[in-house]
Amino acid sequence: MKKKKMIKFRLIILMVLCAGLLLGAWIVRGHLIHEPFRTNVRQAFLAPCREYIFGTDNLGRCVACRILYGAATSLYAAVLAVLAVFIIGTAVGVTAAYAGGIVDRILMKITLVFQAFPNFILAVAVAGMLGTGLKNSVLALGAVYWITYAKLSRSLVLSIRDSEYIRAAKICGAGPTAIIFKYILPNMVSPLIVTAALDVSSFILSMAGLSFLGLGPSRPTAEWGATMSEAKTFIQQAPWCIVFPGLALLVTVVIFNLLGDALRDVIDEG
Amino acid sequence: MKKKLLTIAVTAAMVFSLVACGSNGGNNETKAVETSASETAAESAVSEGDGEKTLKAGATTGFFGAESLDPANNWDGWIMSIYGISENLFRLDDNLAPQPWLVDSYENTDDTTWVFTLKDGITFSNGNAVTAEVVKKCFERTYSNNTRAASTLKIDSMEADGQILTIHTPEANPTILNDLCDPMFGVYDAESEIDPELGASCTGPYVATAFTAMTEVKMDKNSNYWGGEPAIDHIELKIMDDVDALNMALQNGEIDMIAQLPAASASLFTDTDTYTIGAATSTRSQFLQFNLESEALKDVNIRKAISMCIDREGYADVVFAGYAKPSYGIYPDTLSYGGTDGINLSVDKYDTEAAKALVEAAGYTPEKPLELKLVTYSYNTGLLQMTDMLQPELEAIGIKLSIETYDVLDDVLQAGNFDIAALSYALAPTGNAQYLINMLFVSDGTDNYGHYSNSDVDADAQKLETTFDTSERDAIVKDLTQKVVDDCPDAFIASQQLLIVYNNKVTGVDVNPSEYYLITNTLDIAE
Amino acid sequence: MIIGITFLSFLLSYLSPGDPAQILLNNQGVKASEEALQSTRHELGLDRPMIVQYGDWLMDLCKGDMGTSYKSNRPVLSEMTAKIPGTLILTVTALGVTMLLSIPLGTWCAWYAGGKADRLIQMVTYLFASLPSFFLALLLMYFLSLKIKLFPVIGSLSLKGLVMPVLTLALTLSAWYIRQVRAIIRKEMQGSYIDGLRARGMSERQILFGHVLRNCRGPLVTLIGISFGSMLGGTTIVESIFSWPGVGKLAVDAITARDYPVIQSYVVWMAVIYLSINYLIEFLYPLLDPRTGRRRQK
Repeated sequence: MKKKKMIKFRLIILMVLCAGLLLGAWIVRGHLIHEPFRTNVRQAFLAPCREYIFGTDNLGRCVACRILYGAATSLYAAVLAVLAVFIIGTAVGVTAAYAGGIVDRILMKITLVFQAFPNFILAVAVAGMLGTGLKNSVLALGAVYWITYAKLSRSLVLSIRDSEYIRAAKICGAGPTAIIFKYILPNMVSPLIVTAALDVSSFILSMAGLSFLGLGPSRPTAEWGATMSEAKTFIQQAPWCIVFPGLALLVTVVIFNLLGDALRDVIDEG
Repeated sequence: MKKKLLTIAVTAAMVFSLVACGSNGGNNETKAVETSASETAAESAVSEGDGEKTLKAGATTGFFGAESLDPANNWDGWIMSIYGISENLFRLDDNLAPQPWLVDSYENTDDTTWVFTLKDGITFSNGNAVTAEVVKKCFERTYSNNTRAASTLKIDSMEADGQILTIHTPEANPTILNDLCDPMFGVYDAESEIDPELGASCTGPYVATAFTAMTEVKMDKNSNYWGGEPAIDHIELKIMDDVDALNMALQNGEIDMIAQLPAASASLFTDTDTYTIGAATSTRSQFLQFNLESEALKDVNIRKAISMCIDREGYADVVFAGYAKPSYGIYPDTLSYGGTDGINLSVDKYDTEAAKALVEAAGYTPEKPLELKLVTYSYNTGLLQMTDMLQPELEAIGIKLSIETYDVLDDVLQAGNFDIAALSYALAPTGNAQYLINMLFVSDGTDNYGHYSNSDVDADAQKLETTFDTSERDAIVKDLTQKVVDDCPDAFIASQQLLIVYNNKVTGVDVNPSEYYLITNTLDIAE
Repeated sequence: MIIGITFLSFLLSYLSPGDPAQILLNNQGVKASEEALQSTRHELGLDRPMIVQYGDWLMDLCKGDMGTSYKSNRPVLSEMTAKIPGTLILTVTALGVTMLLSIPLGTWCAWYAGGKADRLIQMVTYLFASLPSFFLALLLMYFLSLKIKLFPVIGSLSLKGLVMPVLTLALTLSAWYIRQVRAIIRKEMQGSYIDGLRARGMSERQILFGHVLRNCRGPLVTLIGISFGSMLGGTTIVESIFSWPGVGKLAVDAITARDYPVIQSYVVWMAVIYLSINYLIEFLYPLLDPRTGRRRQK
């Protein structure tokens, strides 16, 4: 009993933390002490000091302000994109499972085709073909991530579809939309949410990877991966330009991973 | 099940073909692993043992990246000249003045006839003698393979007689000697088969032994080199666009030299006990080219406003660490016709207030901004930093810049798919002002992507083509500079220095402002 | 399946914004006029319906013709086959190191689950799994190459050059792998037969090596199949950073150069390699997992 409480408590803390991160990133964007893009080359490469707690970069921009500004880009891109693939993937999975027959076979063949490509390679190829830009890189990652949801939701629907209460609902004359939205979806949402929470962090990581390869948002951007990619040139002269965004990335990813784990624990405990 | 079997069969077939293709490659690769492993082990022994000297140098594709070893192909002649493989009839000295190289003497018998006597006893690396006949054939091949040849130097006809090569030009050409320094006119043995991998046989101090385009080149000395035996036995060139990796490779001793070091990296090599930074003011400059087909940019004031927002001083001092000079005219002041003396400048300082007024007068404000697309190279860190500086400045005065980067910019520029292009060119690599004028400023210029056209400029360019007197030529260029500055089709930013950094084991490095030469027979390395 | 893969790869480049005719003409140094563009498009067959173009492309593919690289003007196939061994050496070595690292550590963690060492390893793996691989690569490069000058920065195809790319790949993947191994073994250990074995007086060591590990061979091999994909994906970043001569670097270079034929064939090759590894594993699975094997016999 005590253990159960502990797990729930941990989840609540983490949820508050994540919400705080998201909200904070949004609010802080408009209230930065230094403009994140305005350059001042006469103050380039200042080491961390009082005025600039994380130092300044090659063009005299405040590293701390850029991290905070970029947080919104990195976080919202990841959260919104996961939300989108969550919805699309689930829709495909539910349709396939519920419709069955030829529709199911075709949709599943499509997911199989997508699955034949190593994830990151497909993302790199799609982003490479589409060209740079935040929208394109999100699309590229989306093309990879939706499959998980499609497959997971399909198997979940199949396991629920023939259960007693669905049959009962059918007998009572509920239409397919009502059955899906009222009875099936609510019963399968928790495993999907756990996957989504874990995906946010892997999305942030993959996004940073794409940016690092030059396939991320177009300039100017304070997105963390892109910032790190630029700062790599100055790793010897000004290590703070790359270390601090790296730490920000690390902390965020850890927090979202912990959230996913906590969610799973709570659901496992029932 | 049948379907699955079929899929497996097809996959198996593809895998088999992969293995079949791969196994050849695979064997080679494993062999390569073994040899290079044993090489590293044996290397020190060899260099101490029989006194063979090896120099390893690195640079980005911009400086070292040839597509092939055929001087006639595209810009490859330029790179081969840097490699020390190919040589020209004339060579530029430190003041960008042409001096005889493969030529012994020359004579300008009338306005359109030039008689060159080639040096005796020079052979190509394959042993064949360099005669006027071979040079003629070589030029003929280059002219038919490279479109830039005819626009650089117009030739009517050539005659060859023993060591005497006579060139007839259609019009009087005062700069033919400069033009012949262009490495595109490198001399190679056009009578022998040109090797698809190792390219043409040339006369330079080094000969390629292995060539992987854009990755690695290995060379051995040309023992029969006419200018005296080269000091170094083997040279390995690493070509990579990752500047940090190059820096670290020099720092930990994997390579001995970086050519065309980005100025931002110079601070890593300030320890003079270990490194030397050789610098020469090159003619390379960075500039914005405006697309005059773009509606808003037809207004000269908008172009000038953008030019005013460039912090040239800050850029030269910080991004280029002082290895560049702000440029408000066209050519650098190291050239007799360069600098801004006597030019009436409409943009002469970084002045965002004046720019704001101009943009406002045209009806744009930060709330209702003018949207423009800037394109630039993805690998030019200097220009990327310039655009990062420019963008917020412009945004504050009502111009919203979107930046797109490309590895290969040509097709974007050709298609006119841009408003502003941020570019980097050597403005007068042969010392001849005409080079740039014919590319950028005349109405049908080869690189005039913004479609700038001014009949006075065209007339000046025409006049320059046939003027022999140096001071008269300088006056024409000055006049043309004034017109270009007034019209502002291009905004020049900073003329930069060519930096070569090497560890102190290396001696005999001569940094030439033309960017055409690096490896010579006197380049040496201590063991 | 093959049709699907090739069609998707084809679709990618078909939908890409670049105009191959324009790129080709520019690379030949020709100023592209509208007529020249038209005729080149016709020559390349770009004015035909998509499905016909796809059919042609597929036929060429079967004949081993993957087109010509815009950048180098050489056949894509030979460019790819020259670089594939480099990537395979890297992936296979990294996979080997990963297994050597994570199977013993994962087993150990599972056996002593909840102990101090288990917690410490769990924490470390958590950190590594949350670190972008390029960041790890840069750190390795900074410390191992620059500070202690142990390994070269420019990764030529040599044993010394192999160390850092392999380490980067193996460390990031191991972080994930150790956790998976731990989970698999813990699950197996919860099986009721373990208690039975203990009751029969079998030693812990015998239980672990004689039964638990043997029974876990199947799931572990499946894991390899999955991780092979992320390993291949990881090579793009790692090869670029360490200038390792493999297809990943080739592809990234091709992307910056908008060299679509190379990107396209890269995608096809990677899918084929990935698929064949997984088919191989599917084939091996019954041989390794005694239970599925027995089920087949019924």
